[in-house]
Amino acid sequence: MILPGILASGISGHLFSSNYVSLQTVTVGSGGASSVIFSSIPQTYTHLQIRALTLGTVAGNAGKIHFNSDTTDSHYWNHYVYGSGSSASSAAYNQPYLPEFMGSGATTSPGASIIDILDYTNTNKNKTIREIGGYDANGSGYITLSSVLWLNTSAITTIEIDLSSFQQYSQFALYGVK
Amino acid sequence: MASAATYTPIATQTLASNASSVSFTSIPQTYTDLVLVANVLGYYSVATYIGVGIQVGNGAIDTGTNYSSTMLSGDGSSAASSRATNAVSAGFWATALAADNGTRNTVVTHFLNYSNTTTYKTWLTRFNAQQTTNSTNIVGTTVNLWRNTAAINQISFGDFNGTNFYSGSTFTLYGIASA
Repeated sequence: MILPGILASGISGHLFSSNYVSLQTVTVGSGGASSVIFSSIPQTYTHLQIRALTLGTVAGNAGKIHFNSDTTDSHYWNHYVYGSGSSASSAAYNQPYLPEFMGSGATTSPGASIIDILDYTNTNKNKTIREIGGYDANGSGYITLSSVLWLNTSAITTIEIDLSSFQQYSQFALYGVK
Repeated sequence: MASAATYTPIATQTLASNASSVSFTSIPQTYTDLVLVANVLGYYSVATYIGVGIQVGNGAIDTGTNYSSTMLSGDGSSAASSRATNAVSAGFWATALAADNGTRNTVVTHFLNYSNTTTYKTWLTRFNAQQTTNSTNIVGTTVNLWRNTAAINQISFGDFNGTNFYSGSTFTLYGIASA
């Protein structure tokens, strides 16, 4: 069965190329950056996906994801399950933590994150976001399945991911899924 | 704002006979990410899942101890996490049976920024190893590191229990290009 529009980080299904469209990409330059912003997001897709190579100053840090310039932490919930290499655990915060467990050095522990923003144009329900992400540093690292709830029914037009410092070579690519 | 359709099939392999590994070579360097979707069943006479390893390389598959992984998994009763360091492949689990009953389970691996020559390479895998004749199932995800800054132009997906994947197992490689 072919399922047009199934999320690319799902574990089954196929995508039609025309249903998965690259929208914007941000690559952090030599000076680093404290945030990554996608603005004027088209409202013509069903879902969005962010695929990221994450390089922070400290491996394991989490970023914060904000929608439509809403930076009030209490408007967001974050739940995640994660593995540390020795045990599995879960936690929740009244914060918009995403991506979780970002990587750090380009030649020690670059991290990876795939974030799905579901039904982002719908104005009748709060928004749900999910992530698979983590980093490995040959002896340390974390892997996580995470979610964020944004308690707002507005269509998402702007996404901002904040961290004290994204390092050079970090890259965030935004895609639309029909 | 630039936008372009992407998520392009690069190559598909369907095993006509049992095989211990599948390789993709001469991978184009024109995409940002790669996604490998495998629908597989392995042979194992004494267990219901096998160790699978991904190896990569540039010009040749790297068989050295340059891989590591962090895994999160659940078997239906508990969750666990494990780690491999200085390994010869990036490992996870796939379904195995002593006889082919038609079961195939899916493994999806996302290679991020595979063609850059500045960073070590990281990829994420989601796997589920479950089948119909036994209650032993496992589902999980891994993050893997290849300690090499070379661009990836070869990928090998191998059965590291020394056995084979059954015929009919499929492997498709996709390319995703960012704007």
